[in-house]
Amino acid sequence: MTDDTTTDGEPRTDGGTGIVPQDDQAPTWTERKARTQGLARLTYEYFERSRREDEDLRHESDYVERDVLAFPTWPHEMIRNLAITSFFIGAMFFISAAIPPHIPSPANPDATPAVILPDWYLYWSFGLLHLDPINPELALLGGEKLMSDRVYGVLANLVVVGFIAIVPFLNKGSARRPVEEPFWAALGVGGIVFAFTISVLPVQNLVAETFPMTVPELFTLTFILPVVAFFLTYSVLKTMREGYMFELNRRYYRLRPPK
Amino acid sequence: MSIERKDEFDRDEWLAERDLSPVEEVYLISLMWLDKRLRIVDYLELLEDMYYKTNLQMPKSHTEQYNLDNKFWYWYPLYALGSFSTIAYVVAAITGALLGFYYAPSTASTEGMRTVAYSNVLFIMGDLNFGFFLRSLHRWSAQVMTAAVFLHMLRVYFTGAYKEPRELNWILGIVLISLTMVFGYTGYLLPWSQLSFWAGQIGVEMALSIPLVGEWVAQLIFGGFTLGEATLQRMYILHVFILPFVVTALIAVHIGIVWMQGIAEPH
Amino acid sequence: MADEFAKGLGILTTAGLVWMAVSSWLTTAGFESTQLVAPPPEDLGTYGELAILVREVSMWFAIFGALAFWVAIPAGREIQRARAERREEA
Repeated sequence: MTDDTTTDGEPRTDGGTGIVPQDDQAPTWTERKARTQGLARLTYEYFERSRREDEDLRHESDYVERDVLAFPTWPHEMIRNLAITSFFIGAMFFISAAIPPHIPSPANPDATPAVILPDWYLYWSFGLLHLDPINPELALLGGEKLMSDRVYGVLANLVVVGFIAIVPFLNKGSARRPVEEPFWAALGVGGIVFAFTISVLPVQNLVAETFPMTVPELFTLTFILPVVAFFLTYSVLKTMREGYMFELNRRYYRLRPPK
Repeated sequence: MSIERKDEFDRDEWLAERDLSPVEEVYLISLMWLDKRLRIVDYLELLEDMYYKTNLQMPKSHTEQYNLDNKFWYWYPLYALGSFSTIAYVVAAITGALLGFYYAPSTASTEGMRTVAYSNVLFIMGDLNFGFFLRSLHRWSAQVMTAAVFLHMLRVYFTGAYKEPRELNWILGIVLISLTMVFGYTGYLLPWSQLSFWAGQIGVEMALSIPLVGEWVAQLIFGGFTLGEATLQRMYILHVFILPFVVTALIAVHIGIVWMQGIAEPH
Repeated sequence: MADEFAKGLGILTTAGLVWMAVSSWLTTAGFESTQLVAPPPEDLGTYGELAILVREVSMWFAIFGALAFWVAIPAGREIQRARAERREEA
């Protein structure tokens, strides 16, 4: 049948590829999809259903204006951003012209420099490698450490990044402003302070030279300061919250009075 | 009565009945001549479409609708940080390509402790026209991009913009921020200076301390347990070949998702 | 409130940027030694002296500008408000 170029009596000019133009007899896209099996059919059914749900919700909705879920990226946000970022890019060119980078002496594997540091944005990670004083010792293993200090440092990095990654799954809801959620805002401020204190940790020698402070004191401070920052932020936001939420709710209900 | 069939597309008659000025007539005739050959009307429609798309009257944003804070304007720079880091990335890509013309990742020694890589950087900074500025711009745009990315993350955190339905983009952002730091780290090693070398040393030690696969990772990324030619070349290929493709693609997806979902606003 | 904060921040960052640019040129001894606050070199010439002057001016402008908008002006407004309230009570 496929070899025969004149199956239905009409001569074919396309060499009989089997590709026929769509006519009334051909199944529509919907029919074709509906006939599929398994996962493809499941996908199709879900999309049909969700589209119908959307339609229903739209019919039920009594908002005349668009129900605002987000700010449009294009064109509002993009054009505004381009205006602002052009200014910052100008500042960047100014800095590059005014403050040229430094080139240190060439690599010398035999001479260890006094200060070994990565670029500034890796300080926090570098600091997490210096956590060996709190690497837990197991009494069962006779005071031996469960893992080497280095493994512990790498693990600390993973834990920090992993925790940040799961934040959206821990903190849900529609609250946006820090005052609405003092706990999470305080956690964020504590995290920022911790990023700074842990960055100072690897240069403990320099700190001990400049400030009257021993290394264990610095280590303690590294963990105390973030906690202090946490409680400070928490209490400040809690105090602000009442008045702030009142204003926010008043504005909200003035626009959308409760039924 | 002429033999030629008259139709509504008879342009000459249309021209005659319009009573146009010479300028208008010449313009219209040349436009018709060009349109017959190039179908300008199609592109005009395209332009018109674009015009109306950019001049759409968007629905009021949340802040406008609820008159939340008429000084919200001052927070706009914080909302521009993502764009800023993207543009800094573009600047870094352009200057990086230009720097790449004059750089070779080789640890072959030229004089004293200097290697080819280090000498190339010295050449760029000392002899190449605008080379000092080029390297400065590349370095600063990298610094600025990293800083902007960190601040962008903080903005997203403190305005709760990571919440449902934006979890995926948050995770994608964390992947991007990590890759940005890898970008910076590999670039930091390229001049093969004292700082580069010892930062590389830390990297090898970190890789080696990963349980089970540490040695394999060190071999793969640093090309061995001690730093040398292989390390520099791997860093170079990561920096100029692998990471640009991966990071550019991920940035495109990241921005695409933002475009689909819109910018989350505080309310 | 918010505009006072933004004005102070704008002054602080802009003047700070100028200060940092001049300082990195003239009062930085080296990457591994004192940065930004080293004593300026001896023979600067007229333009160098001018740059040092700009550095000083931008530093004090940054400090006093930020202080003015973040502390002085809000405090002044609070005082005015308190006085007005007292006047109403009296």
